[in-house]
Amino acid sequence: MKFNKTLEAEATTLPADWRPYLINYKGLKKKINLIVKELADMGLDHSRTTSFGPSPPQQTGNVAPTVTPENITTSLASVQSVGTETTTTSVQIPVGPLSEVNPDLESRDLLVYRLNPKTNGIHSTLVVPWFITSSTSASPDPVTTTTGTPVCSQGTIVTLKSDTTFFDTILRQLDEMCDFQKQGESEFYQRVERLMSQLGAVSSPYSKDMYLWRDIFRWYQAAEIWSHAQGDYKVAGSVERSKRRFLLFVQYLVQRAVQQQFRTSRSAATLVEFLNLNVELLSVKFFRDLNQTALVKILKKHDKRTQLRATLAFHNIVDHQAHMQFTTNLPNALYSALLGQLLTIVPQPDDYNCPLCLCISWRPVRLACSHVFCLRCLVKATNEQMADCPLCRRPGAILEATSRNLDTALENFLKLYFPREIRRRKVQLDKEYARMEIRAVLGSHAHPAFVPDENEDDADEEEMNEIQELMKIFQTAETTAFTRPSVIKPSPSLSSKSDNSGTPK
Amino acid sequence: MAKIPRSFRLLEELEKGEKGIGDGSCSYGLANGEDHSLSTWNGTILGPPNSYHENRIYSLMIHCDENYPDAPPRIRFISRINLPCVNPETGIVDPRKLACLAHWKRNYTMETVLVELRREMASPSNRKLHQPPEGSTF
Amino acid sequence: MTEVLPKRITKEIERLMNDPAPGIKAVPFEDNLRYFDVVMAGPTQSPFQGGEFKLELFLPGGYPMEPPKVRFLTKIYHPNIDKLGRICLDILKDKWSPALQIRTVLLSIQALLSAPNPDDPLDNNVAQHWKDNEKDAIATAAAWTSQYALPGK
Repeated sequence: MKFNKTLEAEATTLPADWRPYLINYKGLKKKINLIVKELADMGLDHSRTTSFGPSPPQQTGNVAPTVTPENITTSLASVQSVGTETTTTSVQIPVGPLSEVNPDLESRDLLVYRLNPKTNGIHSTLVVPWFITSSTSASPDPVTTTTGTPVCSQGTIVTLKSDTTFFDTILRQLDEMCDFQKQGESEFYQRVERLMSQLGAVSSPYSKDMYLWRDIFRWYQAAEIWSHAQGDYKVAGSVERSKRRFLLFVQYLVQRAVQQQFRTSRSAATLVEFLNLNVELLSVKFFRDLNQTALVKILKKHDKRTQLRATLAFHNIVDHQAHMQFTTNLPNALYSALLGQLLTIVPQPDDYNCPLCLCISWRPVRLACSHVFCLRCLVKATNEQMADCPLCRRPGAILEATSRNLDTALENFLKLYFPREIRRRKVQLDKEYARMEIRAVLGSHAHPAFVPDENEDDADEEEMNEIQELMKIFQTAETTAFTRPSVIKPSPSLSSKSDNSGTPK
Repeated sequence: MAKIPRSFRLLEELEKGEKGIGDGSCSYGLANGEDHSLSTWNGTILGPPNSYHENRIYSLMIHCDENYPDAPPRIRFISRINLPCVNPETGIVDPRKLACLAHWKRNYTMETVLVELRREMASPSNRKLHQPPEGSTF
Repeated sequence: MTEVLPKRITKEIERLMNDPAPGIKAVPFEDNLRYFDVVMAGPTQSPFQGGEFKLELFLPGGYPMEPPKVRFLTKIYHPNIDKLGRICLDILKDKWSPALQIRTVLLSIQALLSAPNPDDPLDNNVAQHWKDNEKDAIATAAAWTSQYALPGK
């Protein structure tokens, strides 16, 4: 119906080699027709199942209502234990129309529908309770029956052939998709690793592009492409949201003319690969969502057309078997690998701020409790008679500190990775000294003209404004009503560039 | 420099006033301890020695409006007093005639005003001025 | 003359604006960036729930080596807050640490609303009420909340 068309349309936007691994919705739909037919042949067609549903079943005679819709759920939950009982008994028995077996049968609610896992698929059965067959069979003995029909404690087991085929097909498709995704996953991780080593080179302190790369990743984080804060939590957004924000991020890079600013050619290629990995993630996310929807829809269709409630039982079985990959969040796993790696490679200065001045630690001092502060901030604190660590209040931590507490390793690291920030901070502090001296000489009411201004050459401010501008762009984009977006297609220019980047130079 | 807002400035003055200022010859406090607006204050000045004011206690009303401390407070004597800067009919201190009010600075306080008024009383030209009977009010 | 604002204060303001703490709004006045207009939601499960409390906060020249000054503008019935809105909280006095920020200070005040401490009172009458008959004191606090702290007042 409609979904089939949508699915076909959306599938065309996926890479060609992915398409075969989408759930074959159309084919499965045809299989549902076969199930309906099989049920009809058994006398269980629609016209006879009017009272089907959650309403209480009509009781036939004085028979105890051992099987009601409520018990159906129970028996599904215990599918595992019952499964062992029947796994080996996949004997096919010719079953005539059940209505002939028991003309009183008016409601299928009295039948227990079961999906049992078997070695490489699912065994679909209907259990016909004893009280239904009792009118024709000689003795309702739960252990042995005269006909040799498979039994369980509740009744005779009837295999639903077409239904079994239906689920076997779904499971096979899921298996194939899992294998395909696993293959894609390991390929992706390899690409991430290659990218990391490239990035390590182009964004190192010895590269002329270090600061540009740091900017790119700061914008990337601000764009919140893959997850965003909601209250106190990080949540993953929809694929549409991710796509929208990714496109905005790319636009921003173009707007900032990042490609033109790179000073090494390897940076340009690395950026393209980075963007391509993101595009790949978007595709994976979209592929997964599409498959999830298709699976849900086909199961829903199955349940509606056949009136056999399989959805819950199916998910139980899929969870029990090795189909976990389908439900685990592959894009998220990949994304955290990407981000985790990026953050260690490209440190951001804010991670090295002194908790007192909230600026990069200038001459960092590590107290006995291992908390780090600027030397200057600690001197100021001492002037105010503060003795304890400002963060953990460890008694006397400031007082005890000596020149041995200067963390020279950290200082060298900061100078290497954040030369601009350190230089800027030094200038700020020099001016602060100057102001204090002037005040000391002229008194606190010195004419402002004599006090040097702090705001010249303030790149920090610039950075802040930039981030805010960026946030505004993203915010506006979020609130603008988007028509249903088409699936992301890597722009031709992007993919052609990626081909180049793939070849080592 | 950090510009302290009116309310925190007045709370600082209140704390200082509660602790007691200087030699105790001047004091002040909130007229109403629950006045969130911190507007109306009572002040007292002990008459300076070697003057007509010796051993007298003068009560004043101080009003700090929204513009305080950018603008000076308004001061009115409750106890009758004869001083050139005080209106003889109303007891209101004429801000043009008291230097600290006329040339008000943001770091001046109510204490500044009270201390200067006391100095006025003790000034050579004023200390012998004839005064209304003790205890009379405007 | 406008003051040159220390980097730290600028950064705190940025963060307060972009990522406000839940239930707390703090906006600096345009003409004095060290002076903040604060609105705090009364914590749930406290007699102040449903109330919106106005406060003012000022960062003195010595900040962060010296604590910020904070005062309630909305009338509130609480043993650690006096009739003028002054707050008795250790981190605002001897327990101040320069590693604390506007944000943490306001969160601590919000926590103080949830957990009154009548043993370290600022208002003796209210504290006595709390000790003698906590249930009644809480009822009074709730009544004050609906009388003085309803949103939009």
